[in-house]
Amino acid sequence: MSKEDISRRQFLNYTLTGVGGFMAAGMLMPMVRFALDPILKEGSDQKMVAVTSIEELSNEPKRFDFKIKQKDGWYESDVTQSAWVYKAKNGDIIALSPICKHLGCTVDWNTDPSHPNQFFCPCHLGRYTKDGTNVKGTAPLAPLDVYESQVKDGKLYLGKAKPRKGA
Amino acid sequence: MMRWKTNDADVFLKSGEYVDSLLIPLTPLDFKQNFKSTVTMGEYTEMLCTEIERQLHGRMFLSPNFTYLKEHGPIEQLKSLIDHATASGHFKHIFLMTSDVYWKEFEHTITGQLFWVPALPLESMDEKHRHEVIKEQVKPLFQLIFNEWQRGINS
Ligand code: FES
Repeated sequence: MSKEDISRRQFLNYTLTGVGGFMAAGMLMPMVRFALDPILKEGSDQKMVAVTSIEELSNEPKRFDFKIKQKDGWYESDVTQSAWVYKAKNGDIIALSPICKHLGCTVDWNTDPSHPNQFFCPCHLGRYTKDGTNVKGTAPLAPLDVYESQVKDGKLYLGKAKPRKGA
Repeated sequence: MMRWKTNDADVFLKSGEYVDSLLIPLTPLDFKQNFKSTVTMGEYTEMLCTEIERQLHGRMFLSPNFTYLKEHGPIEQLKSLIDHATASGHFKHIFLMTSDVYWKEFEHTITGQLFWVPALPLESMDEKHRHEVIKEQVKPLFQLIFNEWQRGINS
């Protein structure tokens, strides 16, 4: 046993602690980053998507499906969305989200024979009038969301679906 | 969404009796001679279930796959799973989805509605068409689901 030996052991000890510490830091750093990342990235805007040519629209709500890229934290995926679209009397184009404001089922147009010309939710018999207003006394407590819409070169573009105030 | 996710579990527990239906995909396993066709079945079943869950998740909870080896006679295990789900008090309606013809003969011995939908070969189709096909396939199933719910109201 010489002094040199001990100091070598010590040296090893130091190095190992060093490596250990370094590894811990290496594991921690990305964890902190992961935790912060989605917060930092929130609010990245969703682009408007071309959904249909406006010739296809009439006074009768028609369902269109389209895909958008959705970011769920770090995970990006294609999500199918739908819209009920029609032309109002004054010529405005109305695009409603089909997501029921009760618990999120997909509403259908005019499928409840006892309540024609309404949106109908098959899950708990929720109903909405043509402009998306929830019918009082049925399960939903808010009107259907409305998509931001824009017409360009004869095409209808839809953006985010925005909530409205309850009826 | 109403799937096997922690967040969904919270929503599920909060939504009480509104979510009263369970959809169980019956997915065969086989790593031997029928490997590929078995995968195809599972994939098809999954696509149908995903579409149903997407449109009806306010009332329908999508269970994880019930996987099995046919030679083990999984019927008893499925029955006890269904009993367990019913006894939990959460579910009034149980739906089973499969592309495996194995279950057809048990259709009347299980409590729960069995949807047996043979898998279509979709592998050469692009995604858009695939989704079209799935939506068409699912339409009659919706009708059956609504009928079942309707029966629940009338009885
Ligand atoms: S989810 Fe539409 S009425 Fe309940």
